[in-house]
Amino acid sequence: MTDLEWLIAVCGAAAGTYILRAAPLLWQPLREFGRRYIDFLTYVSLAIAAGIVSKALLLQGDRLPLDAETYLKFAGVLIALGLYRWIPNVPLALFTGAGCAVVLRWWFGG
Amino acid sequence: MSDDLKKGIKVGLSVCPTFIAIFIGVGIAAEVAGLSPIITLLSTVTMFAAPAQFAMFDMAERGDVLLQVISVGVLVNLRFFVMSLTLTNIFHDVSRTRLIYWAQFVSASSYLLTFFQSRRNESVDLFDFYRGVTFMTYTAALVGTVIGVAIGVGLPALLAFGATLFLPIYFSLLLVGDTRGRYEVSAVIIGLLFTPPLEMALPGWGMFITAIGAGLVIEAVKR
Repeated sequence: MTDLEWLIAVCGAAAGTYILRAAPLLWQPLREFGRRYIDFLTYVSLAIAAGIVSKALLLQGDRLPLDAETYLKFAGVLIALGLYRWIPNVPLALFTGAGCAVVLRWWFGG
Repeated sequence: MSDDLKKGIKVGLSVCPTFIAIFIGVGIAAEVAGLSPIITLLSTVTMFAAPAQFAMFDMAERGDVLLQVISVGVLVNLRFFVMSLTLTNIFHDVSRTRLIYWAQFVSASSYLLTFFQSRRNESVDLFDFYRGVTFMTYTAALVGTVIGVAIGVGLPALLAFGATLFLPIYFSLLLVGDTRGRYEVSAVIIGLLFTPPLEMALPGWGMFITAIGAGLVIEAVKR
C-alpha cells in the first residue's frame, strides 16, 4: 500500500473507532440503555478484565505455547497475589511479581 | 491539578510498562508492513487501539484491499462500544462537550481502571480519575510507538518479557480485591476460561464474544 492509501486507511479506521467510542456517551438512547442494563455491563466488564489476564498469560499472538515463559508468567502472578494477601499493597505486589518473573527467566537462561 | 486527576495518573502509571511494550510491538509491526514513521505514529495518535493496528498491518502485508483493511480496523474495535456503554453509568453528570473530546481515549485499561474505582466507596471525581489514567496510557502508547519505530526488533527480550507482565498482574490484583458475590465470580471464571480458546478460534474477537456471552448467560441464570 502507498503512503496515501495508508493515510486513508488509518483515518477511516480512526473515524469508525471514534464513533464506536463516542456514540454511547453522547447519544441519549444508548445512555439510557447503559443505565438500564448496568448489571449486565458489570458482568461484561469483569469478564473482559479476566479475559485480559488469561489472554496475556496463555497466548502468544493466537497460539497457545504452554512453554517455560508461560509458567514464569503464572509464577509472577501467583507471587503477586500471595504477597498481596499478606501485605495488601498493590504497587509492592505488582513490582515484586513482575520482578520475580524476570529474575526467574534470567536465572533459567532467558 | 485536582487530587483525583493525580490519583488517576498514579494508577495509570502501573499499567504504563505494558502499554509501552505493546506499542513497541505496534511500531515494529508497522515497520515490517512498510509504513512510514509518520503514518505509524498517526495511527497510534488517531486510533489508540493496538489490536486493530496489528490487524490492519497484517492484512496490508497479505495484500488485502483498502476497504477491507478499514473495515477490520473498525470491527476489531467493536469492544469500545460496550466499554463506553458501561462508562455512561459512571460519567452521567459530565457535559457532552467534554465527552466529545475525552471519548477518543477510551481503552480497555482506562475504562476498567475507572470501572474498578467506581466500585469503591470513595468520594472521587471519576471523570478526573479517568483523565489521569488516560494521560498516562496515551503517553505510554505514543512513547512505545516511537521506540518501536526507532529500535525495531532490538529490544532486549528480558525487558520485553517483564514489561508485558504489568497488565495481567495488575488486573489479577484488581479482580481478587474487587469481585463480589457468586455472579461476579462466575463472570470472572467464564472470562478466564473461555477467552483464550475463543481468541485462538477468532483472533481479535474472542474476548469480546466471551464477555458478552458471560453477561447474557449470567443474566439468564438470574431470571
